[in-house]
Amino acid sequence: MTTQNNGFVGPLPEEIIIDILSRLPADCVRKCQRVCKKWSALTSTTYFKVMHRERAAPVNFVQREQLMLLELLEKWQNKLHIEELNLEKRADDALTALRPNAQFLILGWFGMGSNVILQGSMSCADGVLLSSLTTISLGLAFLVAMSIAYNKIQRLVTPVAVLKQSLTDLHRNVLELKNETEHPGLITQTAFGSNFSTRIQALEQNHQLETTDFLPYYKRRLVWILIAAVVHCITSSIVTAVFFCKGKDYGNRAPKFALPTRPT
Amino acid sequence: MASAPENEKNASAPEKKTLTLKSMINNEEFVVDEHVALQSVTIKNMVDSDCAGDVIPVPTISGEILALVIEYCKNHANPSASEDDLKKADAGIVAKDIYTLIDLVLAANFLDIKGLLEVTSQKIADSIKDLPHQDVREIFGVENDYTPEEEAAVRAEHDWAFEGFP
Repeated sequence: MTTQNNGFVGPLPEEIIIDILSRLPADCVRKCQRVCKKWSALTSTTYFKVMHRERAAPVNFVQREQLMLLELLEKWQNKLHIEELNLEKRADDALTALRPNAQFLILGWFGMGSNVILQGSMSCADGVLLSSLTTISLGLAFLVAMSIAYNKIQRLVTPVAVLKQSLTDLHRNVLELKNETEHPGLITQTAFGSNFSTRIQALEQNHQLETTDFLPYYKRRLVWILIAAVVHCITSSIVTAVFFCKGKDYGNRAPKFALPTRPT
Repeated sequence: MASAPENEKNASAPEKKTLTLKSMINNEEFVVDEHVALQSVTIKNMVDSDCAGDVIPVPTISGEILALVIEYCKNHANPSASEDDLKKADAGIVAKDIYTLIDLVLAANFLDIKGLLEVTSQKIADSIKDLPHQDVREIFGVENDYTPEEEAAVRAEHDWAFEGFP
């Protein structure tokens, strides 16, 4: 290297500094005002502002509109996000509403079946009959509750479809805006700084996060609850029956429906 | 009388006239055609006012930078070159590190070559665009003369170019 500098250059003439700084995007000029007082003074003159505007002008006007559009899109996305949360909460509530019924199904069996077993006041066949009737009736009640929950979730299908459509529209708008601002022919595409592009990127990423479909998830949960309920009914019936048939030890009385023993 | 044949020679072939540019920093000499060198307004003024000898001394510009300047002038003196070719060639010339660019912009300013000045300034602006202001300070050899309070105030000043707009 035969150049005379190594990290230090003699002071550049002011007109060169002005020329270089006026080619920077606005947020960058603000950054350069922090370099030193002289630079701050150089970039605060009307001469500089006019020069900067001339170099940045053609796009600045468009960018204002684009920024307004961006803000609208952000608000829209917020609104859709809240709506999505509401819908998801409704689906969640529909499942939560099943809880008392499920408790009734389980506790009902415990209360009825086990009480009878422990008292041992019935015969085997009566016990099994009673236990299955209890389970069946409680199970039917639970089924009704489940069908109501399913209905509630099913009623969300239309709103969710509308929401999805809106999200797609939003995404299309975001992409359009992005294409518009990323036009390579425009010199001052970043006149509003990296702020603008990061906000667009955030919009895009949020979109990718939000397009998860939650209805199938809740339907799947409903199916699992149904399976669990059926398994519970079957096992509780079997358990009660087994206890009753062993329960001959507990019961002192003769079975009601047993045939009288023939004297030999 | 000794210079008479030389004068005749110059007069008989005016298009072939060359100038010698000499860097005063490391005494490198460059022989260039006159129409190439005349893109520099400074040299043109010197030639027009007849104060240029055979060798034009160029102070404060090193040979390395002068070579870049002459390369630029040669490209732009070629009438058959297309716009795209010129753009590519310019991009090749300014594809240097920031310190060379600053030397180059100084040279372009001294020799008053408008196109080169513009291209180099743009390139410098592009290079410092994404740098933090501390690095910019270091590159331009500027002292920070702000007190911490003043710097905070400058940082808080937000609405510079877009008044009345959030």
